[in-house]
Amino acid sequence: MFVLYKIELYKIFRKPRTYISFVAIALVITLMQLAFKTDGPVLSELLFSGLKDMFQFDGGNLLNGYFICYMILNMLLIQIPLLVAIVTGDLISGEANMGTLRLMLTKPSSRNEIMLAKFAAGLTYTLSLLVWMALLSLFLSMFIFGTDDLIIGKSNGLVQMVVDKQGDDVFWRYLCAFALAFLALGTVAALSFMLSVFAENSLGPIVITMSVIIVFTIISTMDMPLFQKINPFLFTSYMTAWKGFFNTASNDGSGMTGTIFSLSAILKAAGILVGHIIAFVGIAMYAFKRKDIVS
Amino acid sequence: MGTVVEINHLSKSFEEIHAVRDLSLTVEQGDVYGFLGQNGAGKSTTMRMMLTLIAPSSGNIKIFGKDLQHDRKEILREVGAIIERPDLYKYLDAYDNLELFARLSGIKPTKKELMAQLEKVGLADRAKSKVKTFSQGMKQRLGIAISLVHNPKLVILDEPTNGLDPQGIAEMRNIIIGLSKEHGKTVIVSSHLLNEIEQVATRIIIIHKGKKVVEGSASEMFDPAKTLVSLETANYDVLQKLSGSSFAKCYQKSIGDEMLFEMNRKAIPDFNKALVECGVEVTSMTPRHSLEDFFLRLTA
Repeated sequence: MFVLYKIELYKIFRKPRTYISFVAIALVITLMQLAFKTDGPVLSELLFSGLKDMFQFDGGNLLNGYFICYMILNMLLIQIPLLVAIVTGDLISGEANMGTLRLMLTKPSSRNEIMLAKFAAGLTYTLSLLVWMALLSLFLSMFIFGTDDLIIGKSNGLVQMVVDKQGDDVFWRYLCAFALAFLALGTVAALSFMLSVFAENSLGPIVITMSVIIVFTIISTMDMPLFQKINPFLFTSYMTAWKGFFNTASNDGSGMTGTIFSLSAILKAAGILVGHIIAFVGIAMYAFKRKDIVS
Repeated sequence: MGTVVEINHLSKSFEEIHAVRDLSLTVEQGDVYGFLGQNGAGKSTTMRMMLTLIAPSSGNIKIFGKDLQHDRKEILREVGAIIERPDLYKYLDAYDNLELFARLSGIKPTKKELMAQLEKVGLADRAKSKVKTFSQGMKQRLGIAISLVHNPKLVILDEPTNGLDPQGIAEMRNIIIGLSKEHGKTVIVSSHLLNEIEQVATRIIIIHKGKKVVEGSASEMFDPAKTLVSLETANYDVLQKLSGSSFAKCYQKSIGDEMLFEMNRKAIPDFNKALVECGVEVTSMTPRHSLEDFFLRLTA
């Protein structure tokens, strides 16, 4: 099983298309950082002028690495699923299209072993993509822009402030956020992996995965009674749950060090995402085991 | 000698289409077993069922005396196969492809062993070339190396000469014969071309519309004593002219302008001489196997 996993990983990282994602992420993040670096004072004025009228800031660096990382994650975590699906949607269908699947299945490994090894390799790729993103968006931003308190806008119009004066209350939140983002992207990987079992080329799974995410996200964001009833059943509703790690228990915006406003909501989201992963992979394995390889 | 493959009442349906119907056969150790049938006859479906790529609708397959469904892994460790064409990882080179499939076959060969395997199929000098730069013949040879890298006892080759040029076909034929004669392997090979099978097989099965039509040893089927001679002539009174000759008894039937005689292959020169002596103007005379005639009628 471990040999199979290593082989799958080897195949993923020998494919040129795998590196498209890494290059795309590096390009977007460095461009954003360059923009923040170049137009920092203007952006700072634009973003925080209202706040400065209401609150008194003691000369801190508001446009710091944490803030920039938050901005990047907010923008990119919607597009990253496409980069994940490019590889995971190709895991079965790509091999079916190439014809290597039938040669592979004549070897002494069970179909379940092959599926698990492929999905584990797909998850490893997803993780490596996320680690790459963390290195660039968090660590590089911290290095370029330094660290300070994190001030973020909330969907209800209020402002959340995470105080980092002792340098110990933001970083761990990012680690947790990336871990939860991994589950969200893992769900996307599982969905495209499942779809790839039913397709003979990788385009279908990638397009369908993105279509599902777009449609579900639109439903999630439209404030209509019918959609509100559907929302709890859509996995996309939990894909931005990582933001919950930046909501402290305080309601007055001042922040309480080391607290999370609703840990139960985060755990529920994590549970639902894991449930989706298990369901998608389960369906994929069930279908693949019964599939006649006629291509 | 023992039975390597035993198929009993095997059937496979794809919704309304019956691809294989109640097929039974046995392949003995050391055989080069030829699967003959036109395109869509059920050859590939049968071979895919022997490799668990397709699940049978009914019937069972035993390989090395073990049930394929229950002892799949154990059996496939001893089987090498190419189905239709060897589609390989185009973004990897020949060496990496061979190593990857060797690992999938459960072995970890050394670099020297892998290079030796590539040497056998004449690809050692292209070991580090990407497969996407290979011709069909080179891919086919690499496919053979992959199917043999774990030294299997049984080799299954589905239409191995598809897409090959005449030189490639001859090379493939030599490889198949060598597998049996030099390495003692049992080979199952399919084709829709009779002459390909005829030149390599020791036993042959002909299937048509998923059913077995005939099965037997190649020597029986290609018995030179039962060679059909196709005669084309402008004379309509050939039999009358031949009445005094023993060859008149060899006449079988006429198909259009073609008359068929069955005789020992060695007697063909005498037959030719007798026709000339009787004053028959021969337009063409072609010897062919009774199996060929049978196969052509079957697939017409």
